[in-house]
Amino acid sequence: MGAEKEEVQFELLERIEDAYRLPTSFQMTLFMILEIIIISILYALHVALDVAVIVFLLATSFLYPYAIKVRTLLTELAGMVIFGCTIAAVVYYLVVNVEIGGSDFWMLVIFVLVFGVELLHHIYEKAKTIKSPTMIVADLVLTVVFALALWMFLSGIGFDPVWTIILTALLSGLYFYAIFPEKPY
Amino acid sequence: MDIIFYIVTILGGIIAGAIFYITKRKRDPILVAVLEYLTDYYLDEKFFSIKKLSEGLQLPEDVVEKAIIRLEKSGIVVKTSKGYALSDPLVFLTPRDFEKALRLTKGDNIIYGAYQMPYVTNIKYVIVQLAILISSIIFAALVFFDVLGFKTKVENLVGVNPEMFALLIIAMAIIIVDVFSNIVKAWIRERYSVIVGFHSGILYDVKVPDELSGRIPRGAIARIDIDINWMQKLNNMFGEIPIGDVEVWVRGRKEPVKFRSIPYPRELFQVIRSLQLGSLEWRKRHARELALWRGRVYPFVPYRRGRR
Repeated sequence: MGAEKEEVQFELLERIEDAYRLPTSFQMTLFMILEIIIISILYALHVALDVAVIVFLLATSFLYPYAIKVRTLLTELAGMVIFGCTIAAVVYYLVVNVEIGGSDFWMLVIFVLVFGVELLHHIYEKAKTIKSPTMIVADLVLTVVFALALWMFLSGIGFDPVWTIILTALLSGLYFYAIFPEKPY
Repeated sequence: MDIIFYIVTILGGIIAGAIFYITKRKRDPILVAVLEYLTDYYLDEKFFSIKKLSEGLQLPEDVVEKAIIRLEKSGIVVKTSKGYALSDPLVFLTPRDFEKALRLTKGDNIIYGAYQMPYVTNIKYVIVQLAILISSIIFAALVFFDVLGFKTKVENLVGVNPEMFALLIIAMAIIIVDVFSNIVKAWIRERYSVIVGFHSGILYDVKVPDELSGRIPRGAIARIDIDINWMQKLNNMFGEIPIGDVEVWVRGRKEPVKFRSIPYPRELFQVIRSLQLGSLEWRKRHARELALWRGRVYPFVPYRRGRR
């Protein structure tokens, strides 16, 4: 048993996740290949440049957390920059290109609230796992804004007031539960 | 599209990056000192008080308390009815379940605790989520490209901008998928837990609901094996938490006990193996690093690769 015991004096790597993930160089290569494929498809389809930029950013922000599993300041910063670019591009595009009036504005607010938070959770893992007071307050504030936007939208399209209350309460509750920090394990 | 679009896009990235960089929590020397002290002196001792810690570290009580609260939020320190306890770095249980495990093992030293996550690679779970999302995207595509006059139909039906309505449907689908995922996690959690105690061996839930009725005493462990199938491998490469199956052969039983999609299977394997051989020294050596890693106390920029 002595040798076996000695053998089991194993060394855990400081970053135990590394043992399960692809090597960093492979992660970066894979990400670059995927980016080149996206650019090639967009170029081949002759998509307008602004639309191509939005599609490229959406695809990048979707793929980045799957491909890049290394957690360093640089990779997290890059993720946040991609997030910021995507949100800004999508919101600006919608505001400029879609005729927004009355209830449509509130639909845009709801979409941005959901899409923004979920994209942030997707790109930045800590935002969806750490139950800090700041995160909880932020989630509460976002839920209140969501409820207000939903209320305004449903009232605006002439929904029955009682159903408006019920739906607002139900969907706001679901929204809060969806964005509330949750441990992945 | 005008140049403003590109300026706004770049500005969005710069602002988000700047906010992240400014608000990013820097390494806190007090927190690291508290953590080092805990892993040096309290890894195997069960409970400690802030007063005791403050005396040991020669730091004011309020400073230590602040650090402990932060560690508690990270899941490294757990507040129990008997005081604070250092949760082992490989314990991924909720505080309530950790306390339950302590109670059921009569205060044993819990060295691993996690929930089996069979839903992660369950095809039905994945299909339900994909179906909800894809349905909403198909709906949006039908509206945006006005397939078979769909755009007009939606406009007549709801009386609002159909494109914005399609985006609203996508937003609702995203919420439903997230809620669905959270409900499944909550359902699985506390029902399929696996605990490894230094003296009590392996305890696990065998049915829903259960109170860790499955037991494998440390002396009864005959053989251990890890099995990671292709779906789990894919999940480990690209997903959130590495998972795999761990099989434990028990003396006197033909079939092994299989823990399905357990988080960090390699670590569970090593924990059980070292328990079987009565060697837990590695934990002491790596507790600090594991706790720092798990609590994301500070980014691991410099680290040693390979075996020491």
